[in-house]
Amino acid sequence: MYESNTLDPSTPTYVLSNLLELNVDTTTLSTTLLGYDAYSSQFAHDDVARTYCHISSQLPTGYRREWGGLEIIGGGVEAGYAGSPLVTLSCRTDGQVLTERLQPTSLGLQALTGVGRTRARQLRDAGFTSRERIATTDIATLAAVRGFGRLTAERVQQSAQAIANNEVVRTTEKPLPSGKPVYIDIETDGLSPTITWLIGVLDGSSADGEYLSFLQTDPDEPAGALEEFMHWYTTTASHRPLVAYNGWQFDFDVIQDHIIEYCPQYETDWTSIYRFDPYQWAVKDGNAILPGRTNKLEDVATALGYEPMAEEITGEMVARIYQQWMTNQSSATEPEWNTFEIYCEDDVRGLATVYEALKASSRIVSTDAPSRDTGASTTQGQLSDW
Amino acid sequence: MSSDSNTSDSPITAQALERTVPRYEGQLKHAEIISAEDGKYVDSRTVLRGDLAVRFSEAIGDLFTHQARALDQLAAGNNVCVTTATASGKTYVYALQIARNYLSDPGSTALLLYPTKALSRDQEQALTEFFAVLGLDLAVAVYDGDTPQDRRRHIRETADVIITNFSGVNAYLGHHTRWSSFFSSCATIAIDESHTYTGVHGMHVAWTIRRLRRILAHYGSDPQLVCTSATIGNPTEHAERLTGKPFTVVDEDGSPRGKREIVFWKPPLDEAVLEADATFEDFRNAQTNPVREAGSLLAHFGLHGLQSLVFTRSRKNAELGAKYATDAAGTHPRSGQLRAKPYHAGLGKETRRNTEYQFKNGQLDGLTSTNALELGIDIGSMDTTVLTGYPGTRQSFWQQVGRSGRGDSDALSVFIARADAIDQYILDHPEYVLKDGVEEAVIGLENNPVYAQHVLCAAHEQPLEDADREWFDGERLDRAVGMWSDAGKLTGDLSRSVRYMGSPRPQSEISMYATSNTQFDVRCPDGEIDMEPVDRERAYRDHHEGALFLHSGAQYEVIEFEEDRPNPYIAVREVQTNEYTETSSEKTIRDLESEATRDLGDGYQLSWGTGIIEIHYTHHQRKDIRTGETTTSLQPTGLPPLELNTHLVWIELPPSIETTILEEATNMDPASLSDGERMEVFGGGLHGAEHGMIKLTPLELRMDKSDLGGLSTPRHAVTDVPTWFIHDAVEGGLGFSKRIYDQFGTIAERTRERVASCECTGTNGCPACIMDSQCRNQNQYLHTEATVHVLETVLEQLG
Repeated sequence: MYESNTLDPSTPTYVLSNLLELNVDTTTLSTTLLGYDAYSSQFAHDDVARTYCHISSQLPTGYRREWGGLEIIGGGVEAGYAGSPLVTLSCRTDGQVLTERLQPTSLGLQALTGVGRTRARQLRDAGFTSRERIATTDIATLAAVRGFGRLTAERVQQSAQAIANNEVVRTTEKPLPSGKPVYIDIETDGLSPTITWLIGVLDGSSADGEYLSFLQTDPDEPAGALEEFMHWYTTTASHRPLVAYNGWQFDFDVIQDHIIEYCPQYETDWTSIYRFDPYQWAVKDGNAILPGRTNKLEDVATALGYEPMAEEITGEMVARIYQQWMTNQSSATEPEWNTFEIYCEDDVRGLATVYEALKASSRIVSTDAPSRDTGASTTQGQLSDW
Repeated sequence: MSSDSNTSDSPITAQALERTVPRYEGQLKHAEIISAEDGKYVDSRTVLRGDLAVRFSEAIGDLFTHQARALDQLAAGNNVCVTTATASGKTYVYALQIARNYLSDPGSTALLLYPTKALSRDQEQALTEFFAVLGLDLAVAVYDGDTPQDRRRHIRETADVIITNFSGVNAYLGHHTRWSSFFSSCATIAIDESHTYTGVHGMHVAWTIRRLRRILAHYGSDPQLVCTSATIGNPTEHAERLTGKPFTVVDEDGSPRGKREIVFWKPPLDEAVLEADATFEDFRNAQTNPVREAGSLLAHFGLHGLQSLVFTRSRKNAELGAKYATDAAGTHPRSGQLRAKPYHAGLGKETRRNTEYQFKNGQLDGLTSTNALELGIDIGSMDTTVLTGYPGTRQSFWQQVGRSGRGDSDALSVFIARADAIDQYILDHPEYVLKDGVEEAVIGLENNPVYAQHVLCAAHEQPLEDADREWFDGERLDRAVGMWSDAGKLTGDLSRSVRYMGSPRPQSEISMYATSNTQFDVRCPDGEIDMEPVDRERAYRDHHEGALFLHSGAQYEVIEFEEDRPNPYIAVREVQTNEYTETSSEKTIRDLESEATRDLGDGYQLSWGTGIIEIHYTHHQRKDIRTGETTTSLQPTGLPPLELNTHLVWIELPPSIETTILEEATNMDPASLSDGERMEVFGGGLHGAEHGMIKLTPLELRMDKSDLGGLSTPRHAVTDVPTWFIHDAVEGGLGFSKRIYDQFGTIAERTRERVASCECTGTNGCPACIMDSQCRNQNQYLHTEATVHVLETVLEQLG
C-alpha cells in the first residue's frame, strides 16, 4: 500500500478500498469484519491509520463503526452491479461522508419517461443519440422510429423537453389544489423514525415567504416539535393545503404515526388536513413531467432555477447526527441546529419553486395523451429517488 | 353424484369394500369401527351470566363439559389451552369469553389468529352469525393480505374482533401506532390450531407472539390467551413455549361423536420376486405403489358414486395420484369416466380456488391432495378419505380421517401403508394411532438465526431497553444487539435505548417458514409454470441443473441454476421422459462442541451440542421409472457444498464393541471376516441404528423425518471411535435433536422392537425397518441383526 508523506494533517484523510467486508453470522450471534487483519497491517503506523477514515466499497452505504480503533465507513456494496444503483461519495472536510445513489437507468436516453433498454437502442439505431436532439426533432420523424407510435413519440419528446429546457411539462389538465399552500419538510432519526424533531415550514412564496422552524432538541420530548407545529397550523393556517414532496411516502405517514403516539389530542385535526404531494401528483399519477437529472427534490428544484443557500447534505446524514445525539447527549455530539434549519429551509423553498412551476405551467402539450404509465418505471423511481 | 350411493353394494363400510374391490388380494389388515358416543353437558346458567346463558341455551343449547370447564378457568383469570377433538366446539370457548368481556366492557377488543387465510374467512362468517344469535352487536372482521387498502383503517378503528394470521401480525407490528386504539383495548387473544406451530414456523410464531405482547404492553394491555389445539403429548409445555405465558389445559372431551370405520390397508407385495439381498429399488418395484393403490380406490369409490379425498405425502404424489385414478377407472369393471384432480400449494392460487369450487359442487369425483387441504379449507364434506401413508403425526391422521362423513351418514377412511418403518409399525400396532396422542410438539426457541431476525424487528417497532431482556431471553439479547450493532443495523446500548438503523420495514425480510430468506424463483422461459419459490436446501437437493421433477401434471428439467444474484432463480423447460433423477451426496460433520453429555460408562457416551454439517450434492444420474435402471452416466451437479451450523445428538461407542457385535450378528469368528465383511456387518449395524432411530422419532415428536439427518461410521474423524449422529436439518437447529438426547432410551427401544420384529428376510433390512428412501448412500451397508445387537448393547448401558 502506498502512503503519501505529504498529507495535510488538518483535514481528514480518506482511504478507499474494497478490502473490508462484513460477515454477519446469526447462528453464533457474532459479526466479524473480514479482511481487517490484512488491511490494518498494511499501515506503517497504527496511530496514523487511526486518524484516517477507512471506506470500503464492500460495506453497505451508511455503515459507520469503529473496529480495532479504525473508523470504518461503508462505500456501497454492489454499487452499479446488475441494475443496482451507482454510488457517489462526497468526502467532506468535516469527516462526514455523503453517499448518493444513482440508478444507471437515470442516465442518457433511459432517463426519459417510457424509455428502457430496448427503446434506447431503437432511438440510437435511428440516430437519436442525445436528449436534446429528441426534444427538438419533428414529432413525425420520432414517431417513425422502429417500435414507436405517435403516442410514444409524444410522451418521449415531452420528457426530453422537460429535461432539455429545464421546465415542467404538464400532460393533463388536472388542477392543483386551490388555496394558499403551506410547504413543509421534516427531519427525523432515520428511515424508521421514532421522533420528528424538526418541521420546517414555508408560509408564502419561494422567493419571499416566511420560513418558520419547529425544532425539538430534546430527544426525550418527542411531542415537542409536533405540538408546536399543530398549534401554529390550527390557529393560523387552518384549511390551507399542506404540501410535502414525497409526502405520501414519508412525511405524512411519519407525522401521523408520531401524532398518534405522542400527542393524540391532535389526531383529528391532523387527519382532516388536506395534504398534497407534488411528487405523487406529477410523477406517480402522471400529471406532469419534471425536469432534472432525477426526480429528487434537489435535482428538480435546481433545474427550475432554485439556488440552495447551504452546502449540500443528505437526510441520511442529518438523521445519523441526530441519532448520535440521542444516544449520547454531550457537547461533542450536539448537532449544529442552525445548519439543519437552513438545510430544511432550502428544501421547503425548493419545494415551493417546484409547486409554483407546476401551477404556472398551463401549456398542455398533448391534450389527448393518456395518463402516463406508472408501472415498472415508477417502482424504480421510488427506490432510486429515495 | 349418482343415486346408487346407498345400495348394499356401496363400498362405504369395510365389509362392503372387501367384497366389492376388484382383484382383492387380502389388503385389509384391520378395520376399526368407531361407534357413536353421547355428549356430556352442563347447563350454561351455571357458567355464564344470566342474560348470556339464556340466549346461548335458546340458540345453541347446553354447554359441553369441556367448554364449561374452559370458561370457568378463563373467569378465574387463567390462560387456557383446549385440546379436545375436531368439531367439539372449541371456538365457542373464546367466542363466549369475548361475549362476556363485551358485556362487561363494550370497548374491549379481541385478536383471533388462524393458521390459514381460508380458515379466517370461514370463521368470520361463523362468528358474526354466532354473535348475532346472541343478540350482541360485535363487529367481526378479517384483516389480512387480502383486505382492501381502503377498508383497513375502518376495520382497525371500528372492529371489536379482528381475525388475522401470524404473517399479518409480523407485518402490522411494523406500524403499530395505527393499531393503537385496538391494541390498547385488547382483552383476549385466541390462537386457533395452535399445535400447527412447531418446527421452523413455530419458532417464528413464538417470537412474533413475544413481539406482539411487548407492543401490547406498550399500549397498556396484557390480554388473556386461549389456545385451541389437537391432542398432543405436551399441551401445557407447548402453549407456554409458544406464548411465554403459563397455561391451564382442558382436555376432557364432552362432545358427541358419529359412527365411522377406519380400514388399515396393505398394498399387495409380490414377495416371491424378492431375493434375500433385495435392494430398496427391488422393494419399491415389488410392492404396489401405495399412491397407485389409492388411485384405484378413488376410482372404485367414484364409480360407485362416492366422493373421495386422497391425502398424499408430496406434491409429486398428488399429481401422480390423480393420474393413476383416471387410469384405474379405465380398467375397472364398472369402467366409466372419472373426474379427479390434484391439489397442492405448488399450484397457483387461481387453479386451487377453481378446484375447490368444482369439488364442493360435485363436479369432481375425487381430489388427490397434499396436507394443504388438511386444515379447515371449506370444500364441503365427502364420503371417504384415503391416506397414502401415515401423515407423520397422530393428530394429522385424525384430522385427515375426520374430513370424511356427510351429516349423520356412514363415513369410511382407508389408511394405506407405505413400505416404510412407521407405516409398517402402525399396521402391526393399529392401537398406536387409535389410542391417545403421544407426540410432543417441539418449538426450538434456541435457534439463533430466527431469534436474531425478530430482535431486529422488535428494535424497529420500539427501541430496545434493559427491560426487554424479559421478552428476549435475558443475556442472549445482549449478544444479538452486539452482532447487529457491529453489522450497522442497530445503534445504542440497552441501558439507554437501542435503535434500529437498517433499511425500512425489516418485518418484510422475514419468511415465516424458513430460517434464511434465500428463495429461488422458478421460471420457464419458453413456456409457463405456476410454481411457488423453493428454499435453498430444497433447491440444492431437488432442483440442481439437470434435475427432473414433476409439477402440476407435467415433467420439467432444470436448465439453469442461478444463485449468485440478488434474486436467485432456476429456469426450467417442459420435457417428457420415463426417467427420474437420483442425486448422490457426501456428508461430513466437524467442529463438534458438546453442550450436554451423559457418560454411560465403559466408553459409551451420549452427547448433544452444535457442529457443522457439510452436505455436498455432488452428482446425479437418471433412472428409468419402471425398472430403476440407470439411463445416463453420472453427471456433476456443479454445486458447492452446503454448510449447516446446527444442533446434533451423537453416541460414541467403545471400539471393542465391534468384535462383540460381529460375533453376535454372524456367529463366526470375527478374525475370519474380511475388512469388507466387517464393514458390511458392523458398519451396517451402526447405519441401521441411525436410520431406524430417525425413522421412528416421529412416533414421539411432532415432526417430519426430513427435519432430521444422520451419519454413522465405525470410526469418526472427530470422535475417533464408532459413532452415530442425528442432526437437526435446519441452520441453527429445530430443538428435535435435544429431545432425542432427552428421550434417547425410549426411541432406541422402539427402534429395537421394530427392527427385531420386522418380517423381512435376509439382513439388509427393508423399507419397513431400516431402509430409508432419503438415504444418500443408496442404503448401502445395512445389517438388521447387527442393528438389533448395537441397540441392545446401548440400551443395556443406559440401564
